[in-house]
Amino acid sequence: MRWLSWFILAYLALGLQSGLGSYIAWEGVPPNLVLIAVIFVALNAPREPALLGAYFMGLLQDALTQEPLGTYALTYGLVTLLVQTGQGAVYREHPLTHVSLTLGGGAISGLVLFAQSLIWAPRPPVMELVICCIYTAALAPVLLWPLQKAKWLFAFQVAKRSPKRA
Amino acid sequence: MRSFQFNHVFAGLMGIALLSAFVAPKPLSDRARAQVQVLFGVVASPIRSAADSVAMRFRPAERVDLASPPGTSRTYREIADENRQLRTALSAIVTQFQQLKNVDEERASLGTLRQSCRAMKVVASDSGLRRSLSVQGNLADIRPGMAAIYAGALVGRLDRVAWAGGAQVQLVTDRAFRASVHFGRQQRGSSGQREFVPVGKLSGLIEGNGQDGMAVRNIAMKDVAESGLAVGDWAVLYDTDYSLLLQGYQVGEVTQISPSRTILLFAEIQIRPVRDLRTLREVMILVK
Repeated sequence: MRWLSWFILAYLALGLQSGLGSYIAWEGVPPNLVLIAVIFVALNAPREPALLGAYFMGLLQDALTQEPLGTYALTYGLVTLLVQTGQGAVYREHPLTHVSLTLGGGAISGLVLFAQSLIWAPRPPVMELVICCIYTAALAPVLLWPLQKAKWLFAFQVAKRSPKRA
Repeated sequence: MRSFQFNHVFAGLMGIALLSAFVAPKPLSDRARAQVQVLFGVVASPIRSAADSVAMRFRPAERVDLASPPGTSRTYREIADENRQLRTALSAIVTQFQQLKNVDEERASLGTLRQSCRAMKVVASDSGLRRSLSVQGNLADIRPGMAAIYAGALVGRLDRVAWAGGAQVQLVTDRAFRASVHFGRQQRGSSGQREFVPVGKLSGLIEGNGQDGMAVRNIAMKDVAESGLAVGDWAVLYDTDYSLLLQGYQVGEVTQISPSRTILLFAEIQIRPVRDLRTLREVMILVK
């Protein structure tokens, strides 16, 4: 994976999330644009760069929110592990894949935020987590389509199988 | 072998994230995070400005008339009369202030709230589901915990401050925000002028609801009924954690009063800020 492209994607996703989030909020809940970027990388990149890329994208998002540091890093690490597990079995270009993976990612994100609120912060309204998840999933095909078309910029390499031992 | 090593490294990173998110106290990580916020202002700020100008085209400007009682509006004549009275009062206050200054130079630090504030530009809002604003400006003498206000009401308090010129303001609507408040209302006094009148001796703890409002849940329904608290009344700050200058400063407006669904015999008072705090372009930090 080309890390410069990854960095630009992460920077733009976080910038859009911070700058645009409150303007495109639905029922007061912004979509999670960074999660869509994470899904894109997890869907296309080999396992190791995908996991590291998602982790550090989460870490950057942690720096821009009130949640304790590590929340989104942990979340996106888990989301990428999930996506990577089924990476070979899904049709990467299909909008249904994008919606279902983003719904799954949003659900993991919601669970982590909820679990964390049991220890630290006051509990977030469940409806807010659900709306964020659905809203993000609805936007995923729209945003992932151009990203998929431009994936050559990232020079993703298909993971090679290790040679069988004689 | 390489994959084996990577798995260990990644498991370690996830372990650190888990500890940081669930075990480590928040202030430990705040110093490092505040520096990163500044980097994203470069892209977030122009995007925010563009979104704001687009939003202004499609959404009419919010009407902020704090002096009128809810549901009514003043005529131009009333506003002109009020302005004249205010100008007279202001000139008297300025003169009195000047005299006091001459009498006691040591008390020269007495000033209006505006003089004690520093303007900071809002560059971004929270990137997660919390309610906060990233602000930039001169951070000399600015510390976490300081109050952020705008013309009319409290915005929140500074949560993180970076040496690189950025800071984060936790909004009053954030679900972790807490402050003590009193209630009151604007009404005409015997002289015909509008004045702020406290509503009983009601005092409560205001909590952000994590969306666009706040709620007070620790006042008995009986006390609310006795005090005569009504929709449209103001919740004003009454909290020793904040500067004396801010005591009595508006936090929001009561929008609903209903019996609590979770605590028997207690009321749930819904309060909303006068305007959408997440679309503010500038906030003032009370630095003194």
